[in-house]
Amino acid sequence: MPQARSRLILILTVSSLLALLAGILIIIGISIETPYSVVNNSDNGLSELYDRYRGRVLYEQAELANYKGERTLLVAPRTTPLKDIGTLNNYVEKGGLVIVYGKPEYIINFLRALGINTSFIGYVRTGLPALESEFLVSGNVYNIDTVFKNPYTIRGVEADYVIAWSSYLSYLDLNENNLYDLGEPIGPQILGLEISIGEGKYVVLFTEFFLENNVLTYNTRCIDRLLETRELIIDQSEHVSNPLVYLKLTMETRSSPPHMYVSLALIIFIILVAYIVVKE
Amino acid sequence: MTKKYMGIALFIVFITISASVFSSSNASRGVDCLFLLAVLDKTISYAIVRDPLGEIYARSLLETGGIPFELREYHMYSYEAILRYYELISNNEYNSAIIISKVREIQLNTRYISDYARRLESCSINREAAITLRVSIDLNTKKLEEDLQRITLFYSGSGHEIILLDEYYTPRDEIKLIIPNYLLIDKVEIYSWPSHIKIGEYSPLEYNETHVLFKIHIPSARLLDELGIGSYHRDPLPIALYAKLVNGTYMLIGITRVQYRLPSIVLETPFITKRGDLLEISIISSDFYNATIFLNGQEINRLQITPGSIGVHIDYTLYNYKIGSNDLTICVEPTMETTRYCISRSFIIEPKYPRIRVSAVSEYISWNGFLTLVVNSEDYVNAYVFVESPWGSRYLELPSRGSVNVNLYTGIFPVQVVNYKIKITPINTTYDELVIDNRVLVLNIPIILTLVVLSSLLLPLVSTHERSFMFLIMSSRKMMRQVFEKVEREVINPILKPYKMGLGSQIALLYYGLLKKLRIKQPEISETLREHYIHISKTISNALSLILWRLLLITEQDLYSSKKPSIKEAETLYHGALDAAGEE
Repeated sequence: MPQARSRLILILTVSSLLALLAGILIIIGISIETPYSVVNNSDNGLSELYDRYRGRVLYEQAELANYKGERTLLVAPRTTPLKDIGTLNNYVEKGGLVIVYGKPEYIINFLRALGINTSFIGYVRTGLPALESEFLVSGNVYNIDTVFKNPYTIRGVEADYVIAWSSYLSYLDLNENNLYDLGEPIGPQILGLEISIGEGKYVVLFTEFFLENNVLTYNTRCIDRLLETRELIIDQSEHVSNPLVYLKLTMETRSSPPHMYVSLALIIFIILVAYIVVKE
Repeated sequence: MTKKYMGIALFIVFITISASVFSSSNASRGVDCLFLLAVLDKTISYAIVRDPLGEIYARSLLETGGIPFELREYHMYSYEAILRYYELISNNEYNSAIIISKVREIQLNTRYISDYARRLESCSINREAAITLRVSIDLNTKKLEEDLQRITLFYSGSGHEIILLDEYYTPRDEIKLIIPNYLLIDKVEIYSWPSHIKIGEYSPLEYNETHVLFKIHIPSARLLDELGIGSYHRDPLPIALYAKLVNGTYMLIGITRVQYRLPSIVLETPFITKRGDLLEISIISSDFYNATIFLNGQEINRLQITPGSIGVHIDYTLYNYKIGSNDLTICVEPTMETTRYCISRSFIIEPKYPRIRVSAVSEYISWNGFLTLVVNSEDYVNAYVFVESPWGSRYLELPSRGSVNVNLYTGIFPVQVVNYKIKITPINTTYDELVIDNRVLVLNIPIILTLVVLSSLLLPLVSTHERSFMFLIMSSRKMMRQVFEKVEREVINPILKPYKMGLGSQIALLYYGLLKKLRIKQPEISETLREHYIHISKTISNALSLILWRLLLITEQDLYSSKKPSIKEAETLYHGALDAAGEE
């Protein structure tokens, strides 16, 4: 019976739309805890950086080709090493400025990929938590007072390239027990260096967090100085493999992924077809 | 149904969307004492070799926050001493007096370094490492002090040292200062530190060829109190000794501390007393003091406290006392060594009630609709009794050592909770007003009896219909139906009457008439026309049963439908049935 068939199509269409709505609401409502994600509103997210500087989101490193290096600054924190540094190098050579920081494995791999033979020494702590916790360490980048969260230091860095230090009241926690032990070096530790390539440069900071929500307020002067008139781009290519984060990014950021319009068109097409069939 | 499922689905969707919890649990942690020890050791180590890094560390540590409150003073004085040392050694000052003055300042603060190190040692988790660092700090501090001594000797020239001040003095002490003549000191003045209130000045006592002697009397607590400097009994009072030179300028001799103490007195008071009774207090003291007694802030007495225990009787009724909690304070005047001190105790003044009892029960059976209470006085006191209940109030007079009955109306309900309040106000006495609040559950017998009688009278007046209906409900079983058959018929027949009469339907009358003519059993009251048809159709011919069926349908239509059938059709079927039955 034609009436039963159109009823079935109507039910299927309504159910699909409801499921879509439910999915959208879930995506909007759910909170993301992925570090360095611009849709993460917790301490280790970059949502405030994104909002404050009206940044753009980078879904794939290949998209860097669309940006002019001398007019942009890329913030590229990661937990896992990059597979290929070539795209980044191309961007920097054309005048791009990249701030790199994150987990030690990422930084050490990154520096080795740039030809610097280095290894991890230990985390830098402070015995005087004037800030919220011992994981927040005062220091400076280009002589601008800054705060690092969970900084560490590495060996094999030449002094000429050093641009970041921890404060006099920091120490190197060699046994990683978050307490000062007799013999652990007290004093400024190297926390960052500058590597010039072509027209641009990398600012590599040895810290797990620098521009995240719970440290950004301390470091706005530093990022302002580095940004100047550049546009901010935030690398999110590490997170797009997570479908939930990916969907949240597409919905909550100003940058749209390539397939978004195709998906929208598909949804509209389905609704139209269902409407026509039911009408008949 | 579909809407219901959609609603449930939406509900489940919204339930699963829960706001994420943003938690930022960066709880601040305590300071690492071993780290502070290590930094202190590092800073002093730099200082004794005059490494500029020491000054950077000292400045950073002075500027940093996060030092626990109990360590803050030691931290500050220790690093100030080190900073001032760096200032001293980098100074181009050649004035011996000024340099010696600066050295004195540093020497006063270097004493804090060892104290600070000890405190950090005690709060360090790793005690062995802490002890190692503390010992190193002590050694380095000693080297620093030796350096300061050398500076002093160098700039004092004659080789005689100015006597250093002790760390603490008591008010009975006197400080002897032997100062070289060449310093040209006119007077020595004492100031409180750092508030800089002048406490006293002293002229030289003795002279000789090379030196002048000053004897400085440490100020008494009484003097400090007069000067409004305050009470320093917990922490010693810092005082600064300044030398006023002949040319009018001042030179700091040193800063020391004076330890005062509290007067040792103990105040004992009773916790509770009845209004009107005297308050007996005890004051135990080890010395003579002048004191003032206050009640709730009002001065009520002055007395001299002597060593030992003294008892004091206070008639608080003459002053601003209150029923309930009151504060008694004794303030002791300052003496030579002891500061002004106040000690307070709270005590309760209870109201004084007359011995008047009210008979109290929780349940009461009332035979007359009233609740009777007996108010009995055991004291020689007349009183007014004011009784209040939901149905009114009344005044009664209670004689001395007598009793009075109070009758309270209990209302119109058979069971009632009666709340009452009785206020007993003694007449012309020091007793306080007594208020009694109570509640009683009253069983009102007259009301119960009245209700029983009323219901017995009213029940027969209930109509037959209602009564029969009640009986019908009660008698729904077959056996009981036979008993109430007559009543049932009497009730049911009038109800069914329109139905039996065909409810005004001519066709129904025709149908009943036909059945009668054909000598077919009439339908029973309890069966429908169709049920009746099923029974009779077995006993009649097919032709007749068909006609009767058609007539039955028309009859039902005429009875229940708004579309009435034609009477002629019914008549035709009527005659047809008669023909079929062979009758006319």
